[in-house]
Amino acid sequence: MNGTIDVVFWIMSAGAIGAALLVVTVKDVFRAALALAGSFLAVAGIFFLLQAEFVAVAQILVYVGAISIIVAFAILLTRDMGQGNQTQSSRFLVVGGGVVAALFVLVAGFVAYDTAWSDRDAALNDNTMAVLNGQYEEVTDASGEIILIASTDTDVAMNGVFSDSTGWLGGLLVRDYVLALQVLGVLLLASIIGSIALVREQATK
Amino acid sequence: MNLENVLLVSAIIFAIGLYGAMTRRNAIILLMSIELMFNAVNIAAVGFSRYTVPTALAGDPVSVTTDMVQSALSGHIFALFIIAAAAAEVALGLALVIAIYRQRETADVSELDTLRG
Repeated sequence: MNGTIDVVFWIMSAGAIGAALLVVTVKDVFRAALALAGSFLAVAGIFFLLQAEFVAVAQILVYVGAISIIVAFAILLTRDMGQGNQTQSSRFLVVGGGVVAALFVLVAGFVAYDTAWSDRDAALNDNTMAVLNGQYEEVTDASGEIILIASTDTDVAMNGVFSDSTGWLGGLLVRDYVLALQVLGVLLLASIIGSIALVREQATK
Repeated sequence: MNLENVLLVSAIIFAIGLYGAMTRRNAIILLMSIELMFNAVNIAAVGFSRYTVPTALAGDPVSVTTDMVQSALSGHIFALFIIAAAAAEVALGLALVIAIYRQRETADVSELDTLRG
């Protein structure tokens, strides 16, 4: 089972990285947009493997479904610049960009492999692990606070954070992060109004 | 598949986006490169959420409350907010590109040098 997940993970990663490389190297803008959609899809697959189903579906809806489409629209509206008058990047920028990117991967990779990350399975005790996996019951402790304890009944299957995160995410979004959610709604509204104001035909023309 | 590999993939995609943002001159491809970098950050955030635990849950906590369980999902929340912010950003960015294209007949960022001193 673990081996299969590894194989799928590396396939998804290779797909995401390869498509991302296409985006930044291919000449035709429209093909770059298609490669970008492919890269987003592969990243959604990685999210599924990381047990983030809700984020993966949001990624598919927002990135693959919406952002790719409006990028395609923008390309169609500015079509003729994709061919003809595309200036070549200077050699200095290409070499410099390559060096910077390679250095970034080196440094980030070194940090990732050199740091002793805390291991989730080792850090959790059996009780916490059972609760996070959804095998728990709610009890009220002496001070009246609701706490979650591992259930002795092995048939119990609540929504565990690790097994079914969507319900927990919903709770977080409407409680702890409700202000951020509202602000984000205002931001989206502002950006929609801004886009319309920018691209609408001027009435005075 | 472990945290190190996830972070490595994330770093590679971020570096590709960085390279694209530095070298390409087409404004739309520039925006796409920025989206790639957003995606890389999301991978890292979700990866951390999957493989590490908040200190409140580690070891032998006195009691596990709902808040503590929810704190294990911070990475997902970050990723969701980044996705939404990126959607707003790309909508506005593409509107800018189209507006500039109507005026200047170009989407080449190196030709947009009106403000150069």
